[in-house]
Amino acid sequence: MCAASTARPAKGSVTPAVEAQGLTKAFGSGPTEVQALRGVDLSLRQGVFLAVMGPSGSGKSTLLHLVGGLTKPTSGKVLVGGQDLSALNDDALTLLRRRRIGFVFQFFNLLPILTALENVALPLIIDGVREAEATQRAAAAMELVGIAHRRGHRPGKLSGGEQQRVAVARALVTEPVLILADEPTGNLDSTTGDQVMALLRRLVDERGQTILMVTHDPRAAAMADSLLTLKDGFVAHEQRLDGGRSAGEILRELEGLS
Amino acid sequence: MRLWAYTVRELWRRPGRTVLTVLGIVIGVAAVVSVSLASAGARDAFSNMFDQVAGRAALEVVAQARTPFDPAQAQAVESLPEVEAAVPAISVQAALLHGQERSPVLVLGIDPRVDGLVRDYVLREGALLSDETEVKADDLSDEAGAGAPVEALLEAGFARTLGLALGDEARLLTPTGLATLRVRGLLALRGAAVFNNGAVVVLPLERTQRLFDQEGRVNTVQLVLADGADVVAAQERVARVLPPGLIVQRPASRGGLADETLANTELGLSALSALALVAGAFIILNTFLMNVGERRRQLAVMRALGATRRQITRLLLREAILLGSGGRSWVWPPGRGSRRYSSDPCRVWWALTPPASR
Amino acid sequence: MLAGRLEAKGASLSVKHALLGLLARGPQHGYELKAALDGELVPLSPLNFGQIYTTLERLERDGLVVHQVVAQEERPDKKVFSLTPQGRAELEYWLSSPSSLSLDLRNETFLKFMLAGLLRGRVPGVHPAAVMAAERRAAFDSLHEVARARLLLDPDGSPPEVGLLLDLASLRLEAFLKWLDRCDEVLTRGASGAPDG
Ligand SMILES: Nc1ncnc2c1ncn2[C@@H]1O[C@H](COP(=O)(O)OP(=O)(O)OP(=O)(O)O)[C@@H](O)[C@H]1O
Ligand SMILES: [Mg+2]
Repeated sequence: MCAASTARPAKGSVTPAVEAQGLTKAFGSGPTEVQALRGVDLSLRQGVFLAVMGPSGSGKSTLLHLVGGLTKPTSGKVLVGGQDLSALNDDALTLLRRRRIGFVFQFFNLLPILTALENVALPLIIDGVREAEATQRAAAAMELVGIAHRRGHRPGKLSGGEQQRVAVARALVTEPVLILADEPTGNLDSTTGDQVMALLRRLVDERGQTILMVTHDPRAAAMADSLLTLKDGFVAHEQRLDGGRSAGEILRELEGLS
Repeated sequence: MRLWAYTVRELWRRPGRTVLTVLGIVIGVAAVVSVSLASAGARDAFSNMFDQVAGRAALEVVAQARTPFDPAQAQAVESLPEVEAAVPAISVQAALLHGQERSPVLVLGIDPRVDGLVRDYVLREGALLSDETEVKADDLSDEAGAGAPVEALLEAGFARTLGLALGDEARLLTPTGLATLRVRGLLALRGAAVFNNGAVVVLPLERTQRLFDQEGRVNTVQLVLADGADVVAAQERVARVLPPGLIVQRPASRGGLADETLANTELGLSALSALALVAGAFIILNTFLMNVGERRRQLAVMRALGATRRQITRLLLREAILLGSGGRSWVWPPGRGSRRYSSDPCRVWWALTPPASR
Repeated sequence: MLAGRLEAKGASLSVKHALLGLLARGPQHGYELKAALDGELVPLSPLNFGQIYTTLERLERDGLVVHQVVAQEERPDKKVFSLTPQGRAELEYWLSSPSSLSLDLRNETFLKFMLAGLLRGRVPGVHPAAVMAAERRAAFDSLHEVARARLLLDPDGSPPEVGLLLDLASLRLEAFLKWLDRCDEVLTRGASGAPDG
């Protein structure tokens, strides 16, 4: 398999934010064995936004879980920020997940009894940060994603788009090297989906955030810098999307028009 | 840990679920507590009852063949320093007739001067037996005596069921014929009156011996030991001075059958407690599983956010302890109260159940 | 580049009616007309002057517009165009009739798939999967640019009216990509061993 070519020239350091080598994953055994991944390589520089597409059951979520250290590969290895995940025990893996990886899920997965602010602060609280500081940092993250005015609301009182923004704030709050998003727009209408995608794009452009996003939606995928298409557990297609044109060039083309 | 504070917040903000959980624990703990208290109460009542029936005698002398014997044979034991008093008694089955009523009774012949040392008599009405009742009986010549009423004590409730009041007369069917009894006193269902479920007629010893053709014989001589005497040592000493044919044992009502009964009862009670424990544990476990099931997704999210297994486990444990202690403290006061409540009916129940069916 | 792609994939525009419409507001000269076209009506795909002037000449020939020459100091004279009653009637007729939507039944991509299927094995390097990869790549590149353009117009994701054109482009591209997935399913059903994209 060839590695996803995901260079954004000036950005990032030499160490890729994420690297995967020869990843395979089988579920079950014997006649019921399912080969979810059959050898996937990828390398993702820091500050790059990668979208993973593919038909249902092609192994997208499996790849995301392996990269996030939520499950262990059958073979192959994953490096996050240069750290080989297979070399870590459960606690160390958890710690890495806590401090270096942020998750955004399709169904938001906010804790219903906590307020938006508490939800955002939760990863810090888990990390043992004092509540005052955690709250302050959570408020800053909410400000960043433009949802600060909803801090006291419980998730049930928020719209899907708002919930997902809270979830993004929660993923951001620990300033992780990598954000993993599984179908972040899967449960949103296209307008709110656009807003969440705009937010993710802004995090990449303005803060150099690295994001790996799984999606079915070409509209969302098109917001990324790079596209990886899985099929039956293989990488079927990969492509750089920025076409070498900077945002400035596109802007100049549109200048003075609106 | 502040994470804990978050969890507490969760309990607080979902009072319905929290109350349900605590309720589950309350029911579980209450089941265990009440059954164990009831058992303890029953156990208390049971041994109390045996104490009452057996009296305070630590040992008794009986014939090996369980036949009546002459208490003079056991005279020697009275001189032993361990033995404070020797109290003879005879018990015989008979039938009491009154009007149309006919009731099997246990006739207990006692020496009124000393029997109080080993058995309790709680008078409801009338008077207890005394030296005079015996003496009066002695004064009667055999010829006249056969017809003269014998002063008797009956358990009050038993007497009422037969329609007997204080001073009434009834007839006792004995091997020597029909004897007339006069109710001298009515006893509360305590002490000696508990024998045979209250179907007891307490008579003066010598009159009983005569009525049942057992002059000079008793079934048992109960020994009251001196303060601080060791029962086992005393039993050995007594055994040594007894003539062949007589043995010394723990009182029949305590040893043998009683021990067996006690053991069976204990077994039953323990089984009941174990059952309650299992049921209680099941209820509590179920409540927690329901909780954990409901929160599996939350816990998965927490894991994804970087909570370690240990953190999650500790969180659940602390929550369990908090809810558990909350539930238990809720149960405790009524639990305690229930002890007082439970022991009385149990005592009554045990006292009312004929030994054979126990 | 963006403009070029959008134009290539979009339906052809009636410049004629755009000009009639602008002149219905009042007489205007060529420069004013071009500025208005670029700014409001065809914002993302600028027309060149040549197109505008040839169209105006044709309109004048058909009697839908007339022009007047206005003299200017220190500058060449300018032509000011205005609408004739026939021109107004044509505009009104056009506005009230539905736009022609192409069903695109002579689709170019489909043609390529079919030909690649026929020529596969006979002409080296020709294969439906290669067509697929190229189409997908191009469509995603375009979609990416549309997406970024939308973002630039309004970073918060609620663009003004021009954004509607980008939306249309985006939705067409998304539909095209979904159609490609469909093609993929059908085409790989028979043929296996596709070369690597
Ligand atoms: N925990 C699991 N146990 C068994 N099989 C699994 C498990 N997780 C995934 N699979 C199987 O692995 C394959 C890939 O699953 P995966 O969830 O990665 O697909 P996906 O690309 O994310 O699909 P979707 O787009 O529907 O989310 C599927 O066939 C799925 O059934
Ligand atoms: Mg999935």
